[in-house]
Amino acid sequence: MSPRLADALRVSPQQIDPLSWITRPWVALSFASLTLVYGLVATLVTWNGSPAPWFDLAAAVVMTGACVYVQIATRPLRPTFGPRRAAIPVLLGVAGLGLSTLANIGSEVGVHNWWAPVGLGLLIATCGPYSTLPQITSYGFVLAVATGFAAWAAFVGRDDPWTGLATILIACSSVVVATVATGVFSFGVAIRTQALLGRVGIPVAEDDALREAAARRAELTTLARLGSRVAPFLASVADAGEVTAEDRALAGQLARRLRSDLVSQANRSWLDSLAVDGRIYVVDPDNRADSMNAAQRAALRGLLLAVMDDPATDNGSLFIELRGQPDGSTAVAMSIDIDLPEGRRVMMIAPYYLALKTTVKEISWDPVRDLLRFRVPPGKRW
Amino acid sequence: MSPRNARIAVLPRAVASEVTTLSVSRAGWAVAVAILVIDIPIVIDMVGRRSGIEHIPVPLAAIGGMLALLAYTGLRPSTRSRVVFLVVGALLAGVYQISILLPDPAIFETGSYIVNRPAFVLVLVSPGIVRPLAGLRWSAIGYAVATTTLLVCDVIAGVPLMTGWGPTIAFILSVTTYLVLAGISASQRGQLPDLQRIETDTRRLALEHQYEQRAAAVIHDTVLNDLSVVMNSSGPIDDRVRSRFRADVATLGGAAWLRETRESVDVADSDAALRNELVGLISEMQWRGLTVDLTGGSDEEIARLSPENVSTATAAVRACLENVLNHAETASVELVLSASAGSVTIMVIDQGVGFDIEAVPGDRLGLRASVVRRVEDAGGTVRIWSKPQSGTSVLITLPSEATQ
Repeated sequence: MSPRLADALRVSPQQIDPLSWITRPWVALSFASLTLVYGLVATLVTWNGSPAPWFDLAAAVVMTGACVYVQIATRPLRPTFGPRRAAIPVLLGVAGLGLSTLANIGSEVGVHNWWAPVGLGLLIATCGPYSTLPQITSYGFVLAVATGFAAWAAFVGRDDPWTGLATILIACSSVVVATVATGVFSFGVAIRTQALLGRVGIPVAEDDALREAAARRAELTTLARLGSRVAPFLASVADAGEVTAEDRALAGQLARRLRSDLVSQANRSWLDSLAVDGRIYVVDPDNRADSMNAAQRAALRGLLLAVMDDPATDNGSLFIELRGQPDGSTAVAMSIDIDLPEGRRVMMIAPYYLALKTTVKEISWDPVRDLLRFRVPPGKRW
Repeated sequence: MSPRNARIAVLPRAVASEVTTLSVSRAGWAVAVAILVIDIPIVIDMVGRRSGIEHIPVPLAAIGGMLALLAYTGLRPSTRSRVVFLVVGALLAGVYQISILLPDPAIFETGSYIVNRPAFVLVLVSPGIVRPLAGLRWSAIGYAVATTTLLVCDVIAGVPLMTGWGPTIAFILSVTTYLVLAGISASQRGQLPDLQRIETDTRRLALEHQYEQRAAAVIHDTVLNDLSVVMNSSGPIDDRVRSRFRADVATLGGAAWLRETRESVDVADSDAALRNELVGLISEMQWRGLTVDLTGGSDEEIARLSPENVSTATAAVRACLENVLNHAETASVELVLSASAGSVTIMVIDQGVGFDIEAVPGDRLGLRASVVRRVEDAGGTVRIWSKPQSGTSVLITLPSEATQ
């Protein structure tokens, strides 16, 4: 198997393209709504044909709950939605299937009108954006086997047109089809995004306009600021051709000031430059900020600017500390104290958190202490 | 990849939306294939048992034809292939439906499940779609074609008009999915950051920062030294000093050197620029009272140092020599040039008073700004050995043209 294929099998759409799945709970809640509506409508339409229709109603609620659980478990800043966490909705799905089976033993409802397998299919689709192809296949397998047994228990042997094989195939088809569709979707997103991200990895040439703008700004600010008093003085000394006692005194003063300016200039990292307006308090004694690459800087800068731009952020409420580690990496801890409800705060931080996650190691968010931590691997300064 | 060129591994939103929609349309295509494949054993089992095995080949051939059409649209997704799929697919679905209903009209008791499978997949005709609204449009067209086909065939077979729930459920799911994708896409437009713009801004700021550091290093090497000369002079000053002051003031005005790029440039092998620059520097230092012994420097690798790195090396060596002149309390220094594969090394050795590296206060700039940062910015390294009363050695290594 090619490495590219193997990599695509190891990531879910959410892992490889995190920003697409954070804005609104559209996916999970849409499928949850469909499950509830379809389950309720199917149950009401076949109400008189079932000896225990209440079980079907309960099954619709349980399966909807499974979809809602997926939504909650996959909210931004939560841990990865792996098989262990997916076990809960899968078990809820099996429980719902069991309830629906009880409702349909001895009912007049045909297997082709049984809604529960469709509900399971919708549950698999709900897990799709957050699961890899192998994970989806395993969930689908478990649910298809359970559906086969349920169909055998509730529908095989009845006096209806379907044979036993057809009954089980029809019952399982919704689950199998949903598994195929969700798997194709998940793998398709992973492999296409992977290919496109490969292109993102191509270095961007610094265009001349960008370089010129930066040089002009440095000319206008740094050179003008540092040289504004010294240049006329040196020119006057050169013109006069001799040094007086006043010149020596002034040169001493200018040198002290210039040295002080140069020291602060040399010690200032890009992060310090961002902190000049006083909203961020930076502790970076070893200038570790300069060891971050362009992607890490951009993601962190985006987060800091977003937090600073929010009216709920007070002056000095952002604290960031960078410490060098023995292995050459940099540990970063960032405290974000914003006066916003939990949901809004998470939604504001999430895009930057997820972008940062693609560029740093061991990122974590502590919602209780509002603390973001991550590690920047060792890298060259630039 | 260099730290400067590292990019955030997140797709632009428009591209990500296209990838998601394309994958959804592919999933719909896979559903169509799966439905038809699952239908094969059901047809063999049900039709064979109810109508006899002689009635199996036609519906199976129709399914085979539909699968071939799906393969065609899957391999060549386009408007044309989708239209072909809908037209030919509707005919094949009709053949399938009639071939099952005519010998066994009673199979209709199954509520259309078995007869509407090929028509069902007509709703899912959208591989290659990259916009949710286009997906919606094709699903609606497919649903209309599927429903019409089913109803027309019911009339031809003389059974009650009934389409079954399958195509409707497929249509609702398809519509819901594309609407969800459109909703996600629309909601992201206002909420998600423009990471590409942030990346560009960050690169611009980093360049500014780099230029500021370069400017600071040059100011340190020029006007700060000039001020030091003024502080330690009295009375008339030499013409050389006056012209140096003027040249340094001019440096602050015309800052073309700020824009020097670091891209590698072809350097002729005969261009021993570094050695020439160092010889000029040594001459200047000797005039100021420092004897510099230069050894080495004839290696080909040295000749292949890029012009930018020649400037960097010269400036760094100048800063080292200024330090010796101002602080080492010695009148001589040794400069050793050597080269290895892909790099040039310059060693500045003095037997002066030395210093405790750990005890250098944070406000001392010389080696840090003018040597270490400057050389590291050019991709090189600097190592310093010094102890009080034991002299100082500075080892500067810069990449030569071959490795840049």
